[in-house]
Amino acid sequence: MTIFEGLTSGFLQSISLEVLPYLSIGAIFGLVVGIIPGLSGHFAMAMAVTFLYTMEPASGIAFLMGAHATVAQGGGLTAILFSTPGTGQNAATLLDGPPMRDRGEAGVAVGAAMASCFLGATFGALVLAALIPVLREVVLFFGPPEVVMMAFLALTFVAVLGKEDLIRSLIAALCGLLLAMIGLDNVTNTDRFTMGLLSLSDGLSLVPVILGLFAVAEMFDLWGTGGSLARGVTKPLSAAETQRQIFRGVGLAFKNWWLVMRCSAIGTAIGIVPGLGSAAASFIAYGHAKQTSKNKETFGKGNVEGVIGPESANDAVEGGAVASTIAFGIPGSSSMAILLSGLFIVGLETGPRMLNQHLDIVFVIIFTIIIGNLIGTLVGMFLVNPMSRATAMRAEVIVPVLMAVILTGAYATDRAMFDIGVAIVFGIVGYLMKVLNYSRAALLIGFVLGFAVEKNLYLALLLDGPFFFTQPIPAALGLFTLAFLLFNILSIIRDRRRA
Amino acid sequence: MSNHNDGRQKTGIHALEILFLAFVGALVLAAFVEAFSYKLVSSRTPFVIMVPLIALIGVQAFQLRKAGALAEVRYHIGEAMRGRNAVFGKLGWLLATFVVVGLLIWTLGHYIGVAIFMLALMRWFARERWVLALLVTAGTVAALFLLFEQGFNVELYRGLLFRYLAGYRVF
Repeated sequence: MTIFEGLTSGFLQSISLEVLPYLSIGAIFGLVVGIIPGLSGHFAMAMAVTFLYTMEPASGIAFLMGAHATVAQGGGLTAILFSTPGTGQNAATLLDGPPMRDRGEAGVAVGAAMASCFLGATFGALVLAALIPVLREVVLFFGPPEVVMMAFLALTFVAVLGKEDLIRSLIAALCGLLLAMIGLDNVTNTDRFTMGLLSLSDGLSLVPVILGLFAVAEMFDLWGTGGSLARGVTKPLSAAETQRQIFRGVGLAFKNWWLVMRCSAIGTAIGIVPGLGSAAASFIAYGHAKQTSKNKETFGKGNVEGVIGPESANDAVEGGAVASTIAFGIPGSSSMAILLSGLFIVGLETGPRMLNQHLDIVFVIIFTIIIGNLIGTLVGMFLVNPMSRATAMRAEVIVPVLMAVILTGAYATDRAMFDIGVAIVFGIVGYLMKVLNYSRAALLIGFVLGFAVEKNLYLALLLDGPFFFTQPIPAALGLFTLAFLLFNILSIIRDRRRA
Repeated sequence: MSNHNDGRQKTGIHALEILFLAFVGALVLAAFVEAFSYKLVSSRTPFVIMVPLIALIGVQAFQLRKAGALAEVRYHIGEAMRGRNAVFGKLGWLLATFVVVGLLIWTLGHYIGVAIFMLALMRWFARERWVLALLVTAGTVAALFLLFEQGFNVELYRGLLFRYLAGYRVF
């Protein structure tokens, strides 16, 4: 099957009556899962996979990918409206989404987020399509040394996030890295910093930590200050005004097309490399958006670019992640592992065989990502109006309701009572960090990257010795990291002199 | 007078940061000592993280000391003990409420624990009407049940009491 034949067949299958209904149901299901805290993309896929046994390959894969594709959109919606991200990949959206809501621009933020998600996913899917002929060679370039250097590059974005208060940001980032060390060391099987608690052997789960740091802390702050979630809004926006704002947000995403492209490229590149994940991608994209913006000082205070950057990156990850899963049959995340099992269930085998004999299915996956996100965007826009009305409710009513949802979400991630405690503890830590001006985003970047850094550093040292960073790609990445760091340090010194 | 109050408030935040750093620093130092008991392969990365972290905590504490926060710590703790420090008082309430809700969920289960927590917040803390508090609580708990248990087949925690009554004796 030639690429053109595969593309045509894949497209026709994706819009056929046998596939499109399954894709639509999957997309709406994924959106609902994304809205609920604690339920993530791999949860949506795990639930969807149970229906695959009776489905045709194209329908089954469309259902599965549709469910996965829209999770980030649902999570972005609640991150902006309720300061409660449905999944880890939307944590970066919390930095500028809720401040926009507080200014009465919830519709703009959601519209921009939804459109960015769609554009990012389309970008990632198109890159996946373009990479098909050279996929094996591209993925083979990335081993542990490259992942380590990319993770170091990601860590330097802490310097961008915390430019205003570098020492506090570095303390937060290092604390995040240290928190990632908790649990069983995968090299020596030694329990580290677990205090003898069995629940800590697997380390701290990402979702309860995020819910605690951002959502619980926000709820406590709101309870203390009173008012409503949307603090600058005295009465709920009308349906017509909300729709107008949404279209303005969509327009802003298209207006910032170059930022969308750059952040999508970041997301896709990180998706191709197994082990970093979409949470890291969205923070790196946020850092990049801030770094390159003309209005750096408004980041964190409700800059729409701070929503567009991470939202386009976290959906673009899909294309890259699917690429490495299809080319090698090696999943880079739990979601991709479930996709792999889904492919096996419908009788498909990944690797060169799939790229040669089932190219149409590869294109079904590509078109599913694009169409699924389009469905998610359209449905999400209709959800904004009723949901945004809740943001104008009084704190005395909305805080108890959201706290109940947050605590349930923390439990639902791993069905562990311990995670409720984790969310509570990190809620207190998050509130203190907010009051004391410590960057919660920096802590989260450290936490997200800590595991990947340690594991790949060990492998890189084992495979290539202590000078692994002198190989061409790691060396290039290392030089870029140093240049980036130097540029930021110099700009900090310059800003201080001016002040 | 206003300037004096602003100054006190600022040093209050600094004093809180000193306490926060002392807490984090103590945890990191404990982890540092603990890491010596691991094999070098397991402890080298934590050491690489902790050494600069301890140094940075020291630098930040030094800067706060220069700002006069250290001398104010005892005063603000005293004020908090007497219930006169708003930030410290708020944190105390937060801690107590969360400990209670954790214990409630652990012993009585997710639904009862969450319901009592919501009722307590709305009725006793926010002085909402009984009808509204009961309706919102019942609606939320029902929605959680329908969404998680019926919709997504996620069984929420039933609590120690339920397990005991169901015949479990090993917790």
